[in-house]
Amino acid sequence: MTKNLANTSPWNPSDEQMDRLLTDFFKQEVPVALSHEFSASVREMAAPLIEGRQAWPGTAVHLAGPVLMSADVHLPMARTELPRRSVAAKMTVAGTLAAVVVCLFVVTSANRSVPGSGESVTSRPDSALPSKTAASSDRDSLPEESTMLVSPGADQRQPGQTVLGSDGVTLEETEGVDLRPAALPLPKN
Amino acid sequence: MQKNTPEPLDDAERREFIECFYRDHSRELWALFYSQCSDPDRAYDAVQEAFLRFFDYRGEPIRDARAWLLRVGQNWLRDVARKKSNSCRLMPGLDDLEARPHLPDAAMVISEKQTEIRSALAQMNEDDRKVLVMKYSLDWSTAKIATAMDSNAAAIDMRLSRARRRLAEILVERGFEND
Repeated sequence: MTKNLANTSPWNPSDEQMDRLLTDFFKQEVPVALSHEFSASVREMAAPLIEGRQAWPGTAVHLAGPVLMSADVHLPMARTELPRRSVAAKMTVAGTLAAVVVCLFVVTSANRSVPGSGESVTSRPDSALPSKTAASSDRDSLPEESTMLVSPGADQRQPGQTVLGSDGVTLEETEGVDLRPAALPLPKN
Repeated sequence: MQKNTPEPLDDAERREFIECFYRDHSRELWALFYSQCSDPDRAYDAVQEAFLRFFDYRGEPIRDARAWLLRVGQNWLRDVARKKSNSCRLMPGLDDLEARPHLPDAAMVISEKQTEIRSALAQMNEDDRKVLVMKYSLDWSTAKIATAMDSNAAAIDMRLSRARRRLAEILVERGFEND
């Protein structure tokens, strides 16, 4: 195709020329894809989309031949269902939860003090003093427990007057003892 | 030419019927849609849309499938023309590479020539364009065109001659020159 130039005569086609022109034009104009089979060209490619449209009626499918296809798939989230759990699966989950709860209960009970021992089970065996938290919790939870005495006469109301040894020295008297060494006399040499 | 479907078909028969009908009539339907819109790709889309709806149709049995498809396609073309945005375009030339092995320069010249003539056809009235399409795209006889257009052969011959002359005038006005 060429455009008319200023110095050329205008194109004046005859009927035969127009016949030939139109015949060639329409031969070129027919899409090649039109010669394909309908099912092979469109239907097979569109099958997944069409099935999707049937599954979700709100889905729009636009087809533009075998070369180009587009789909506006709007899947409503409410329609996407998770697979249902079977009764056996539900029972398994419930049993597992019950077992976990029972284990937690047992562990919590075991962390408490053994009745009559005065010590927490969780305290270290070589520890002379139980932890403060464990002791306070013991006092709170077990007020009637008897405590083990660590010094003679410690259960008396006036511990300062308790005799500490066989010589009759009391605790008050020991506090008054001057522990500084007295000045020794110099040797006579 | 026309096939009727008076009895409901099962799926396999229906599929086979549509396949045969597509082979026999898709070319003709495309040409008739083309005479309406002067756009080969859009006419092709109309053919596909019509057959796809025919495939999915589950209503009352269709007595005249060709007329049904023609109406569905024409309605779709009218809807597209109103919206003017719903048309999907084929990749230009990509689908034709295998069937039309032209060199790039020659392909461009042919493409420009096609565009010029297409634009000129779009300027004509629909009846003149339809006569040209039936004559040159479908290769119908004058008598057949007369039957389709509810006219007589002499009137169709006159209309054909006038349409060719009108098209030539439009092409000359647009500066077209055929080598």
